[in-house]
Amino acid sequence: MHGIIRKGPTLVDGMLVVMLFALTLLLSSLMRPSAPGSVLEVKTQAGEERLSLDREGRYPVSGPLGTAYIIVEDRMARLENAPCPLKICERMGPVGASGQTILCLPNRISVRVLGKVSVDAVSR
Amino acid sequence: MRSPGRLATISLLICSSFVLASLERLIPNPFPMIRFGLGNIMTLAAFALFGIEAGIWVTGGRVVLVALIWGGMLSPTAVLSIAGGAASLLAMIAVMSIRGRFSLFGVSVAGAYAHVAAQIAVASVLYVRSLDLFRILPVLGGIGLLTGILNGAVAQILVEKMEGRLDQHGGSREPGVRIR
Repeated sequence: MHGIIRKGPTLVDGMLVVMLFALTLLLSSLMRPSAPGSVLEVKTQAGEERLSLDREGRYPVSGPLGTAYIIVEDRMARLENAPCPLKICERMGPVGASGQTILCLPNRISVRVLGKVSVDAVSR
Repeated sequence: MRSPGRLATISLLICSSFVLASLERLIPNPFPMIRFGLGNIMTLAAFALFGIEAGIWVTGGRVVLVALIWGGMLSPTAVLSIAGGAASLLAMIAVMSIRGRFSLFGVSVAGAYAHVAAQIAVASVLYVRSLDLFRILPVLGGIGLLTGILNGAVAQILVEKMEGRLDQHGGSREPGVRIR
């Protein structure tokens, strides 16, 4: 009766949990929330475009499933009317800090907040 | 020795795993990225009762069944669940290969954490093409630790109950791997 799985929890289990917990704390301290962003980088199947967070409005973005809308309000952005089944992307917003991302996998849309970047001719 | 009893029990574990994973989808969840990984309880039971190969069958079977029944065989969702399943299997097998030290608690926690990390990594590489998504690793990883411990506890209780029954019916279980 030589087993490879013991009846637990064992001391080694505890060590593994403590190790992973420490790793988690380390990672979260490395990733503090960052400065407010100013530009949205919107990637779709069609390509990439940039929107300014200063300009409030309702911008359509299209993917293979249909059109969703990016709502820019109070320097925050969120997705609305998403055609994807689970609508995870709608719940990922609103985002406004640099580095935050809204992602819609089924509809292949990603919206990322960038920090201080010069908004060039693409902004509207 | 591939006894019919063993085959039947592993099949039941695959089905139960699928049912648990489906139930989990049906429960309204305000944070869809946070999962309990209930299906993994059956994988853990298979590991403990029948060995590594059986556990691979249960996770593989669950991933395929979920994709077949709930749709999206090659969708990003399925790709992510295959990646998560494969990574958690690898991590759990790695932990079990350190013989006689870990219990199902440790195996479960390793699997849960690897699942979360792999899904974030694959989504970052394939779909986001940046490292931003790793910002949620601390949150999801921390929750993974909790759900991992809970699933490990449930799996151990289940295995203890099943062991007695299986031994009564005799011959349906591979010796060599068991909780002691």
